[in-house]
Amino acid sequence: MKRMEGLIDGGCRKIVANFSGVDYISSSGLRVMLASLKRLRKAGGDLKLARLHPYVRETFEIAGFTQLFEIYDREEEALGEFGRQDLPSR
Amino acid sequence: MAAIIDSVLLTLIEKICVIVVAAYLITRTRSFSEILDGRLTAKNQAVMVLIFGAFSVFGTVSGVEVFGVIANVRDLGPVIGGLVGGPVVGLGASLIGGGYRFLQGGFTGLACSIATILAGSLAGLVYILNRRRFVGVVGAVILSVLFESLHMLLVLLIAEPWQEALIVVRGTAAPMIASNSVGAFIFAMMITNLIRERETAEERDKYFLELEKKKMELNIAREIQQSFLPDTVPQLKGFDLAAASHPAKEVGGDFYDFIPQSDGKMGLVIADVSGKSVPAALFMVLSRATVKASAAGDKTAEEVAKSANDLIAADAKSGMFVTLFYAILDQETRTLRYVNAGHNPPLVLNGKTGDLTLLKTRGIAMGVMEDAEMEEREIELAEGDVVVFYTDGVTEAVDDGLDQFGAERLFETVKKNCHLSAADLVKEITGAVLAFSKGEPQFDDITLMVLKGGKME
Repeated sequence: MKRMEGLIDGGCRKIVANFSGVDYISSSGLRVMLASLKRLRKAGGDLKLARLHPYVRETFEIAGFTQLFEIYDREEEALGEFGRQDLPSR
Repeated sequence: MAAIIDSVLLTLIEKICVIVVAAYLITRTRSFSEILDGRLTAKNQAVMVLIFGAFSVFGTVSGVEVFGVIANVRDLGPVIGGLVGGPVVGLGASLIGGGYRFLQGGFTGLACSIATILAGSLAGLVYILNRRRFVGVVGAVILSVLFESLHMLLVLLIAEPWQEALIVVRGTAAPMIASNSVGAFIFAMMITNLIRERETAEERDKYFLELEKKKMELNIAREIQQSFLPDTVPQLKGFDLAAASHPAKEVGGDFYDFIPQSDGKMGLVIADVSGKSVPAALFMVLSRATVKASAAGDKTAEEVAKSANDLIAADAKSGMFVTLFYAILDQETRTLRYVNAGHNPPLVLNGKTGDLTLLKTRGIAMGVMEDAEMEEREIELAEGDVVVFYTDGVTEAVDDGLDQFGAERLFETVKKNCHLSAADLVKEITGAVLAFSKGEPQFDDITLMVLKGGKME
């Protein structure tokens, strides 16, 4: 939580969270992700998720958060998506 | 000559024992403690001036005569006073000690009293330069050596006749430097110990205070949560209903509710607020009241969920949300119309076939976004059908190996006990979860509601 806040406070606007090392997420964890997403979108950024463990993905699904977050199988895809979005503005 | 110096040293060491006791007593006074805390009030400074001044006088009186000159620890009091309490204490104490020495007379009288006053004042200056902190053991000892050397130099410069002064300095320099620095060492040790002790005590007090606060918060959160759960379960026509909630040590903000509607309809709510403790409990109260108010008037489950969501989303700060399942049971038509706002899907056991269904709909936790779509669905409930509403505290209860109770175990427990009444089934499932977790502290509330289809009337 502190780390996400730290990243956003430090000026990060486009974040890909790689969940490959996470096999459980609590509702408090969901809250951290949601709060970060809200902050980032308000600031014109985004938070994309990659490599969700099936169980973690299910937790996101149950809460309906899959409607909210962009979720990718691979980290590169999420990063690529950010890159693609950036192109027109360059 | 060597024997005389030895005996002087020995006597001075004896005096040091007195210093130890004096140092102990002085450092335990309230004024001294307050001075250590930086509270240099007039009163504290006056008390310290008197104490260290008196100690300086004692240093002179208890001195040992060497060739008609007194080797002593007169400088010790003013030096320590100055190092701990600043220039006022250092100067004040040294004026008392130095003044007393001046009145004693002798050809080194003037030099010795000036030396004491200078030592006390310089020590006070060191305190200021050291940003109003005690210099520590090494610093105090080094300064003592320097001040005593200065003392000797002044005697050589000021006292007349010069030759006699030299004899005095030769005899007293070593014992005076030694005894004063040993004295400073003793005082400094006690002072630094005291400072450390006080810091530890402060930390410990802070820790206990935090712990107390946390405990109190948990109790408050639990009381809020429990006081907003329904006291009784409504009697239904042709249905058996029961519910219970076990708050975790750190309350999670689960709740359930029954909202009576017209025409034999009953609103059923089970919900889990994100977060813990008092914030979660307060958010639970807000969510519960919002849903209750939204459910007034004969609205569909979808309408209730949408209006409650919009109200909660407008209030939800810092990503707070609540997963909520709302259902309207029609006791006449025996149908359940429901909306699932991001909650663990309740399970329905078909009493005849033993098939399990999960009550999923397209929805999202409340408070996440306004204007969220909330899909409504409907099932019919026959006699013997069992609906189990639960929060993730049930499936995510862990045993000592951190394995979770899980949905499978829940399904099995429900299947095995589907013949029981709703109340007994709630008890049975709760018992199974608690037996599984074997007293491991649970991270989340365990909340259950069971609706069972009874005889048609």
